[in-house]
Amino acid sequence: MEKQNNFGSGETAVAEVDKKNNKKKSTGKWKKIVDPLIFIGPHLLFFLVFFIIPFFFGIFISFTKWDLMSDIEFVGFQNFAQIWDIKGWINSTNVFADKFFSGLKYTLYYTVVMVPLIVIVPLIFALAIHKLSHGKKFVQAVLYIPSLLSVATVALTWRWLLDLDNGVINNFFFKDNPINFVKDYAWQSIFALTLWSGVGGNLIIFMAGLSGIPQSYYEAADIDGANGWVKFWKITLPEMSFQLLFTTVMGTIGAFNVFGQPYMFGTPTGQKVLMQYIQEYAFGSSVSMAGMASAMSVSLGLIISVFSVIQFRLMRVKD
Amino acid sequence: MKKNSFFKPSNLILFIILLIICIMWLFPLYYILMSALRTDDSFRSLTFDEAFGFMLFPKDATLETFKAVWADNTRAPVGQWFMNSLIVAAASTILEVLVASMAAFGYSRLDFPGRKVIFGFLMFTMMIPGVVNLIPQYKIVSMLGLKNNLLALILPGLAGVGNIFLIRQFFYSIPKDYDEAAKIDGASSLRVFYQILLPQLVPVLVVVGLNTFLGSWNDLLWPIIIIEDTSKRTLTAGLSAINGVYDRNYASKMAATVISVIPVVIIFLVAQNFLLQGISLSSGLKD
Repeated sequence: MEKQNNFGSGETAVAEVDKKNNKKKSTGKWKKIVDPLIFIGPHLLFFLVFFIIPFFFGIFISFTKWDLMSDIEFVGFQNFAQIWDIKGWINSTNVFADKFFSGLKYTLYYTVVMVPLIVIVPLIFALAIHKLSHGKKFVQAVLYIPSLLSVATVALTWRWLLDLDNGVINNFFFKDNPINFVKDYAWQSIFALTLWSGVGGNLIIFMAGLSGIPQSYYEAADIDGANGWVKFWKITLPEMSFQLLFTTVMGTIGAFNVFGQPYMFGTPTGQKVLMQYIQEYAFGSSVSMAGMASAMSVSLGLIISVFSVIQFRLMRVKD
Repeated sequence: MKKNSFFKPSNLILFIILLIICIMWLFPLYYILMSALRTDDSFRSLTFDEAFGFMLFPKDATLETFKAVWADNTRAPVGQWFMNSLIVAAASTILEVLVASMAAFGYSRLDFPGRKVIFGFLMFTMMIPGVVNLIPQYKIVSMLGLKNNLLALILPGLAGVGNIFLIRQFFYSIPKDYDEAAKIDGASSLRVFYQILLPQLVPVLVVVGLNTFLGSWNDLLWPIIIIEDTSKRTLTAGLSAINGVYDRNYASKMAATVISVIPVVIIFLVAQNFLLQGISLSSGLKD
């Protein structure tokens, strides 16, 4: 996009235009308030109702005992004390701490495995595709298609591929001893399907990054007699540092929020991620424990916000 | 260099490896399509070798399963779900493009007290993780009487800030001369916005629109929470229960899955370049 290169030059121009307008228009005073409201008002209304109010309300709920229906009862830090009860978790005497830490554990497990995979694999693919003399766009497009699908679609597709009795993988590779992927290799399968559907987006970011590295850097390195490995570490990786940081941070935030993959594919008993427990506690079939679920949400939110701050910094750099 | 290098052995090996990867990436989609073109009964009667033969040469392919799945309006009304998804995604897209571009216009082209502060605050809230909002949003949407209403799937999305940020950046690439001239001629802000600036924003608005459509089409958690009526579900939310409905009727299950893929693939074929641009745009990278 050519046009993007002009960013930032506009700020002062805006002020100038508006100054001129003020001189020209006599009705400027009230127009200055009403006019902008027409434009930013609709969004601000939705923003208030569906973001600001829920945010403060959500933090409040985490300090209450509430079933979403009857009266709210303020209980202070009781919910947090319950879910962060490390002793109760270790001795399995506190069911809330048990669920919270177990959920956190599997969320972390997913994050720690998935984030490196979803950065390194697309990077390798991008390096390989970049070397192609023909068909770059085609390969890129093919690998990108699955990332447009919903988690539900992806999970159903993979459950069918890996089906115990009729799945093509079992029939083709493990005919004699079919593998029960959903039961015995649920997480590995989830990693595979997430990789399948997640490679495309990061691949395109890396491809754009690679084509942005000046060829002259490599030519200079060639003159110095650097081999491919050295060029990769000394030129490619440093030049791609923004892309690598961006994909890692975004991947981490996404991974902490994981819900759909384990929910749809299924995991062994007791191996749910935190978002699943939050959903169950707040909206499950039994009486809602919205306060407890909110305390879990706020706790998870605090962890995620560490990474959101980095994301925010990255965006500010680009603004 | 171009023509000959393709036949260099190293390039050829690389090409073959990537070709294999491409086949691996497309195979699952091909497989679910081939499964959906069979009948539920054929999964009980055919041996795997026969079924595998079908995958290579689908000579008995039938659309009957698709028709049956689409027409079923009791247990899993896939046709109804599809229409719900289409309505929700289309409405979300149109409204988001409108609301976000208007707000972006306000924050980049109009001068009013507190402009910088408000926009700075909006940016700041992007750091707040959405997970905290889930439960209170449920309550608020219920209190507004929108539970089990498709509006519940459309309106909350309009609170987003990311797209305003994206469009606002794009505004700065449009020279001020245009709207300045129009304003001197006495055009109102509204006129300047939709007659002069909106046409020039089309590339970024297409990106915003596509992302909104896909995001809405693929959303899972919020629809399964706020929609309880089976008939009001979106397709993605509906699919989450399809294992229970079709159980071992594999062809039917896969037909429903394939139906959920169709609009996405159409979008991909039509707007491929915009989608790829969109990734670079939203990640703030230059092409």
